[in-house]
Amino acid sequence: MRIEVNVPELGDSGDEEATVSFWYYDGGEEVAADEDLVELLTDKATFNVTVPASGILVETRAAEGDTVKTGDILCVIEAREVQ
Amino acid sequence: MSEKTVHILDAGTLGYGEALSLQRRLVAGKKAGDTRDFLILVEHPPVVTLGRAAAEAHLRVPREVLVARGVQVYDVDRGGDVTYHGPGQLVGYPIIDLKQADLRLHRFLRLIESVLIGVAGELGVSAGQRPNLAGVWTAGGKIAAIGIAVSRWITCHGFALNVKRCITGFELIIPCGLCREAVTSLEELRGESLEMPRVRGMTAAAFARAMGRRAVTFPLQDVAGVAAEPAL
Repeated sequence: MRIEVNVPELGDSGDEEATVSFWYYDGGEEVAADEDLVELLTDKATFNVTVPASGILVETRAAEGDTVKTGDILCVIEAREVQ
Repeated sequence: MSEKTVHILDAGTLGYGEALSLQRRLVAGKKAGDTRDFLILVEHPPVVTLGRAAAEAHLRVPREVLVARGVQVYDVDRGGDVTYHGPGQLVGYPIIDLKQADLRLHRFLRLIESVLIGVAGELGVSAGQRPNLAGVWTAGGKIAAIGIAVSRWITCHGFALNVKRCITGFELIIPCGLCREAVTSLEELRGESLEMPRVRGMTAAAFARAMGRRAVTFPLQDVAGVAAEPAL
């Protein structure tokens, strides 16, 4: 199953911006649930978005240095089928 | 009922590196299922730290010179720019599960600011937030800096409140990259001396209150039973 990973709500207004600071994984790599996936940088915080489900990181849609907003798609993960 | 408390660790004076491993151990423990939340309160020997948004140009003195002067330098994974820590400054590291506390990132940052504004207010110092600038500000300049890191909703790093008059390291850097902004302290603004243990106690109580928790003491030696420091 394909899962899109979005920028989470960071504040109360829902349209906060953040900068993609770095990816812990490259496209094509295997990722494990709950591990740090990508670090976002806001005002005074770094915020790690974690892997929602184990599988393959199919595609990243934001590069390091890009500005992203709440709800933007960061990447797509092909989740491994759970038996 | 661990969810209704916050464990206060009074670490006294501790090197920056030691305090960092203390935080990493508590974070690792929480990632492994420890539901307790913590606030570490500490004073550091002189140290300059560079956050993710730091520009090397915001060091007024080259790294080698800082180190030769006995000032440690660390690149760290928190948000924010360059800051200085040293004796006379109360540093706080909240290790909190934001999801469990139902707090969003920015609300938590504002909560920390409001705690420090409250402490300043109790001591007769009028302080506030400034739009688009993190930290805590007074008419005389900045009295507290903030910079945190969040992984799996668990917070790390935190705040630094200038308590004593004689904090002498800020001239080494351009704090937070804001070259025109002065840095001041609670003592300087009050014009009378202020003991660190008092401010530490007030800050612990105010933080617990803002979180809607009861503050309980967590002895430093109990950290040994929490978790090993994770390998990087």
